[in-house]
Amino acid sequence: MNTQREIDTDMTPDEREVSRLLGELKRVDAPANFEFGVKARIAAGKPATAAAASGVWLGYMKFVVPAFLLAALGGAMFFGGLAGDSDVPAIAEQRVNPVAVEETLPEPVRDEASVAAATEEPASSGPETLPFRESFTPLPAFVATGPAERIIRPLVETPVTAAAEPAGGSVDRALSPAIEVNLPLAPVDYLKKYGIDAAVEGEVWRVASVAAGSPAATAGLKSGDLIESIGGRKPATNPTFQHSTGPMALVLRDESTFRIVTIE
Amino acid sequence: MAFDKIHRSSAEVYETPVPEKNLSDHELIAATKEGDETAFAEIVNRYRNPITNYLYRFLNDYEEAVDLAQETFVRVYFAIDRYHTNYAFSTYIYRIATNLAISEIRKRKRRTLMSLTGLFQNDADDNTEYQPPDTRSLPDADLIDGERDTVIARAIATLPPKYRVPIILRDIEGRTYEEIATIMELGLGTTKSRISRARGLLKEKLKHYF
Repeated sequence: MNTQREIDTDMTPDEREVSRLLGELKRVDAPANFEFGVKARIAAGKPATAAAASGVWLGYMKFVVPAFLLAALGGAMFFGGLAGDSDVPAIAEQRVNPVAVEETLPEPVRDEASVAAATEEPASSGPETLPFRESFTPLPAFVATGPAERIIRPLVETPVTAAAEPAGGSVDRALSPAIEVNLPLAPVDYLKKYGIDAAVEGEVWRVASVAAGSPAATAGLKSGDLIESIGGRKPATNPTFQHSTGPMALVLRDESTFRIVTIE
Repeated sequence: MAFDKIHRSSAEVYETPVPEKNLSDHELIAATKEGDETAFAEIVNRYRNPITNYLYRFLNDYEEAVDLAQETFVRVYFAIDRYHTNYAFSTYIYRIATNLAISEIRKRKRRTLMSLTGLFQNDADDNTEYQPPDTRSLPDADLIDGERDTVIARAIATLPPKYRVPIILRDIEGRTYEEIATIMELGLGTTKSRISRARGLLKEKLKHYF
């Protein structure tokens, strides 16, 4: 490598002397196992200096630490949530006793009139209708009635009669639209969901028309296309389909070729 | 991928093999990109001594120099797809070695500054960053050569990197000004003036040796 040395013409004598001294320095060679070391590092697959190694380690920590914190947070919320649930009845019990509620309430600012009302009313109407319970604990009432209403409403057209007759309720449920939605679809109806009007013709479905602007039209389907299979199922197997709106894979067929079209 | 390999190995059987030693750097790189390990071995063989010597003169530490030289080739190997033949391969590999060496001396400086133990002990290698000119009278002539090399090596190691890089590349490795300018990503004029300045600094440090 030292053969192409050229003489710098514009050097001062001092510079030339320094240059000569440096040029005369004994050269060192790579050790005999140099190439072996290179190959070993390449086989190890990553930069092998200490700094690089610690960099890799830090890189892992970048993912491990947040993951651990998230897991810890999730755990805290889960167990905290359980603890919160178990606290609810305890609070409700506490509130039966108005004096205890008074102590736990945060705001001390109250005019004498309301305090007087609060202390007098229990005496007049008895312990069952505590004013504090009415005004401060709407939560138990909501929880008790909420789920029941939610179950009945979507399934039954006339909730009053259904609630009155439990036996009739099951019939209503069977005929209600909420259940019907879950019935499997015939292939032709399934294709319609994607804008394809098709009918069985021998071993294939023949596309009669494609709704303009539908996903199928976007995917390039035309009337007259022959559909070999829908999601891998052929007409001969009498397939049924679920009401998913996910992508649908069709195999289209010419005289000689097949192509796969995915319709979102 | 597997199919590629089968295809290539069958091609190798029918082609007359060209000895790696006759190929240019760029041909070797192309062969390495194809997965030819012997081509890469030839690249290592060609450049291991110059790179090791360069790094040795830069760091004044043989073990470190070999370590970084090996690292240089590992970097070349893993970045080989990103290497374009716009400039000579020697320029490319010297640049990688230079970057590694500069980051290494930065790391050393950090270690020296940051280490707590360094506060309490005064190691001999703490002095390598600053070497005052040696004003003692010279010993016998036969001792001079060995000692002179050591002193010159230390003097080089005290230069700031921006002077150390070009003067080693120029006066020890014998690279052209144009190539050094490319390696350092500087203009030709700046490179020349840095080399001239480096020689001036070294002359000050070494004035008792000539």
